[in-house]
Amino acid sequence: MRVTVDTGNKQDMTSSQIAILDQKLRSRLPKLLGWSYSPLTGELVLDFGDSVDESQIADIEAKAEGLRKRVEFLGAIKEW
Amino acid sequence: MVRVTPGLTSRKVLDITYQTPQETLLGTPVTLPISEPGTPQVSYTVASGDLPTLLITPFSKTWISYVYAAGKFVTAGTLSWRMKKNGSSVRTGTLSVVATTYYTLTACFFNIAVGDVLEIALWSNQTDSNYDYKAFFVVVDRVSVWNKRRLYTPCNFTGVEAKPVLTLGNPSVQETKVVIPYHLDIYLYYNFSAPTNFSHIYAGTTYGCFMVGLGDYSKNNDAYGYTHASYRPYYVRQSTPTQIVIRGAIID
Repeated sequence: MRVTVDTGNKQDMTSSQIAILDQKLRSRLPKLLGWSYSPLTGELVLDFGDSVDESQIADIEAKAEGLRKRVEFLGAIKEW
Repeated sequence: MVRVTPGLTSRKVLDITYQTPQETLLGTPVTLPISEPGTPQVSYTVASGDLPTLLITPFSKTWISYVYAAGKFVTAGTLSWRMKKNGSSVRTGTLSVVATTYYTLTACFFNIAVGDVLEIALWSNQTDSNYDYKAFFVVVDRVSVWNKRRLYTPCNFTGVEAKPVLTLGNPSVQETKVVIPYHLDIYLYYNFSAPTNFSHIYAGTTYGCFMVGLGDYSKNNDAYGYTHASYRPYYVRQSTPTQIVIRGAIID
């Protein structure tokens, strides 16, 4: 499952800032496989593979400190 | 009461021919740096010969490119990456990779043009990770044949093929994304991956008559990252229209 949150922050990151964000996200979200961030839109996409289900989305949204925009689950996309 | 008789255009056959993907498998893998490289390992400059050829010229369309990058982690770690378009960062991210496993990025650059420089920089938190594969392919998206909203009746997607077909390394397809028809710029909650006929589609000015799933509906200026114990590249591709048969109705 992939959860997209709007961070409200459109800022490019250096490689050291990427490393710090990666460490923070993985400590808060241990099942995280990968993530991506757009400096153009401020979107943060969190990829959990098959290890997380929809019941945990609100918790993810809170820990990522963003507002949920969309969820991709088994190829289907829900948008808010 | 005035009865309006709609005008009909001639029947048009839009054949779309896609180019063979550019693929490179390095004979000697390149070790990934432990911080972001000044020069990205993967770089493509879009040339006119990379674009699909269309038998008739539609009023508008969008090009999307798929750039693939792959390699291997010996020790478990985290792959970091950055997508750049013409030197500017469009997306950054990371991917967990377990030991002795291949990774593949499917990076989608939306709305590209001839001359654009598309790059992917890769680095790892381990010293024994490498990169040895790249590929590049372009698809067409958001096709609008006429210069204003017009009813397409019919709008028959008579040719649909999954692309690109990658051949080097030990390739395998992780997922093939669908084609999404758009009616009056509205998503109809319907999609297809094989030839499909519609009696009518009212193509809007933004999305035309269809949208591709990979690089527009999902992963617009973003990348999928997948890992596999033996497949490299382990990639995402797109069901692409190769022929659309259309007649336009002028009703306004």
